[in-house]
Amino acid sequence: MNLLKKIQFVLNVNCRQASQLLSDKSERPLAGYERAALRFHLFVCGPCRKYALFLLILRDVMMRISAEPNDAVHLSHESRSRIKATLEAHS
Amino acid sequence: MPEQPATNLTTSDPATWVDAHGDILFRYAVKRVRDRETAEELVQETLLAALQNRDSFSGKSAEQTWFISILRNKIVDHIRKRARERDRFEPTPDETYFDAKFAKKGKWSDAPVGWSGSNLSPDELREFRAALDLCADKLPPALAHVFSLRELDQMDSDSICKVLSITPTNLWTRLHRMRITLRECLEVHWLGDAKTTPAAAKEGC
Repeated sequence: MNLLKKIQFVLNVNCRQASQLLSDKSERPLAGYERAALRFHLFVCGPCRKYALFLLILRDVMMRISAEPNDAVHLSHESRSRIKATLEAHS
Repeated sequence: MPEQPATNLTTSDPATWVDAHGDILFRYAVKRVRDRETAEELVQETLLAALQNRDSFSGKSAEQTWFISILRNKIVDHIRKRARERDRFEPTPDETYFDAKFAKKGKWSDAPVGWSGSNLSPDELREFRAALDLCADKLPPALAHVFSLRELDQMDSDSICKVLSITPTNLWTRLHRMRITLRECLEVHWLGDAKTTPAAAKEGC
């Protein structure tokens, strides 16, 4: 992309592109003009700032969730017995 | 020389496995495949594989860690198979998906509102988690797979692309779709009434 195109991108980036960049940010290093576009867009766009916050919350919760077990879920009695029987049969 | 603590080089009695580890393995699987029946099968396959490979248990890690590493491989295999089956029947959705989410000139059709402070209290976290479970269950398979691999297991992009046989660009598009889909669903099921405050509704780009 040439310089003029990059400048145009920075100035004209919309919510659709900005939200993709926000998601991409955790997947790949953004190019300089992409970072500039995102910063510029977030400065002027409330909904996209909200979306950025949502992504932060989601990431934070996912980290906490994967560390904590969920005690409410149990193997059913039937499957418990079935798995035991299968193991026994193969012992 | 000080005496080494006895290392347990053999596994415990397989007859005790289900009671000792069954629930933990089941929770791990259910969270990732989002289907109880499949999760049960995967737990059974895991314990069976462990039984058949008992000799390879080195005792270096805890027994449960060993089970989980086997289970993790089984889950990834399961997702890989599902992804192949699905791709045969439905072509990969293209950019048109986003047309419904964004209006003219790329503005949000249904703008994100109501999200504030990222420090959730334990109560809020519990509620968020319940809503997230519900919303993750609603994801179409292609998005559920990337949710499980990326958000739950924090697997890196390259590995996910290999598992799903897709390009990085395709993966990034899917992750973006998955995230905006979750956002919409969580705004309804978690934020609920908080969303429709007049102040929030007015804000625009």
